[in-house]
Amino acid sequence: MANVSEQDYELLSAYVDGMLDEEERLALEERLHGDADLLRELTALYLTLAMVKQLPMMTAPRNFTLKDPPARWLIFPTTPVFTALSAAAATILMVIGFGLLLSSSMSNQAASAPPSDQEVALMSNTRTDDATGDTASQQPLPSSEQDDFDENQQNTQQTNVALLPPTQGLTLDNIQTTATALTMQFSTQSDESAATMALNTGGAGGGFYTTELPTFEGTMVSATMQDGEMTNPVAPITLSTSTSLPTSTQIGTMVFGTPSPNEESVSDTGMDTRQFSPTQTEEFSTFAEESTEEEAAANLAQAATESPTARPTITATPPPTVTLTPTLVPQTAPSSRSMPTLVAMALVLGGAVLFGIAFMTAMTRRGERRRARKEGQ
Amino acid sequence: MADNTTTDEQALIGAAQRGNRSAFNLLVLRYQDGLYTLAYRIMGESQSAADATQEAFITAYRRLDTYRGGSFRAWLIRITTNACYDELRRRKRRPVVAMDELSPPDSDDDPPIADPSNTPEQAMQQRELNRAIQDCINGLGDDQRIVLILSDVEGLSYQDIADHTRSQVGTVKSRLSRARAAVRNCLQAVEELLPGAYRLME
Repeated sequence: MANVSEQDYELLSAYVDGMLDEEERLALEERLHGDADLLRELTALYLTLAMVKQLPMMTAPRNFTLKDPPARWLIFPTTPVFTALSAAAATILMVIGFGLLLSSSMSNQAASAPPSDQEVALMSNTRTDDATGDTASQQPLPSSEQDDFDENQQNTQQTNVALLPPTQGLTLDNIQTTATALTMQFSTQSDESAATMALNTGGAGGGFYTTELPTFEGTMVSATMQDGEMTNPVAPITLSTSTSLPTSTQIGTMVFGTPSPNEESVSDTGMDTRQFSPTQTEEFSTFAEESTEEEAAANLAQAATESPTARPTITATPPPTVTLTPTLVPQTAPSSRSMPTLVAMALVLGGAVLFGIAFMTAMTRRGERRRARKEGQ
Repeated sequence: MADNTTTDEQALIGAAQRGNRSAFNLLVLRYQDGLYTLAYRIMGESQSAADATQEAFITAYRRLDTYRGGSFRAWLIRITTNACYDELRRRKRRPVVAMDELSPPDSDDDPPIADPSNTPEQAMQQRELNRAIQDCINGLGDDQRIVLILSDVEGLSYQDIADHTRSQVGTVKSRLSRARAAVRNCLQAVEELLPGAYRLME
């Protein structure tokens, strides 16, 4: 090839393959007649091609037939796209699920924490509004409920309901101005024990409760004051099976305190801490009927002279002391939080299942690849 | 006879396209020696050639729906060539020493059926000649080697080679010319191995 250029060799190569057009072929053949080196290279090229083409057909070392794939137990496609989509969906589900779980647990912790005073106020206002119709029933107790109340009297309970703040104390002006702005104190005339129930109106933004009363039953008597005198005592107000106290706008805020021998003991903060013994209905009723207007007026006048916030007192008879112990009730029912938690757990579980599917499809695909490679060997 | 074979092949291809694996396996048995030979000439050693051949048949089975008629053999040659390209690229990424290079020459280049007219000495000479030619082919670059094999072993036209290698006809022409010149020079260096009929290259 030393005497033949690369271009001539390309012509010779195309010539032996019959790839030259007629003009090129005739020109090359004419040159071959007078160029010995070119002819020698053409001969060598023919021999090279002959040697290459005589290479024998080889026998495959084995059969390359395809075997039937084993029955797949996995019903999902094993494509990489399916695996990737499954993994992505699993990630999204688990992120959402864990996020819901976290938020649910945080809200539970916040709910179980002791509420602040401001929170308590909000809770109480809402609760008393809701309880207005239910707890401040104007109907007397049925006999059966009265019996239950008697049993409750036997089981002494401690009640501590704070009035915060006492906003408006009872003044004579308040009494004369509006019947709802009433702070009325009922006290018994009994020597054995005294049960004092104080009604303290809160007015707008008045008193509120720090707790609920579990099962409070009793009857109280309210009266309307006009011109410094107590007019006709109104019908007894029956409180039955209350879970919260009536609103201040209706009958005022009830204050129950620790037992105190002093019937008119009022704390410095204005909080009534008198002992209250809800008596039987008939006792209050009887007292309401038997109390004369004169006595009430006299009491009111006396109280007014003693203190501008003096309260008329009505004394009930002896009653076994019933003090109710309030309990803090969670503002939100647990059942309302269970649903997001269940949904979150379901999401997490679904994500885990999808992760498993993605993993299994990836492993199956890998196994199929290995099997194919083994078959190749 | 050829018509019957062609009809039979088209029937097998149709059955295979409908998912009949047995029909495809009949086609595999028909073409596996030729495709393995092609792969061996390109790859230069048996293990890689077997891998490429197996991969080619698996790919062919999966892509049977893309076969649009014409020469089924040419279609398989194209798939095998691509499988060899993939194998060569893999080998370049992860260079390995083939077992063929470490072990003594095997009988890959032996004729499948020994010519009974050949004496043992002639058979030995033929084997050495084949190995020398293969070594010269192996010395080519990948592109030149593949073009040489497709042209001078498989007998494809320039245009088919250009289609298979995704190149221009002029490129094929140039590569083939250089490949032949390189093999010619290689064989000239081992002239003593060549039979007398081939000693006219000087």
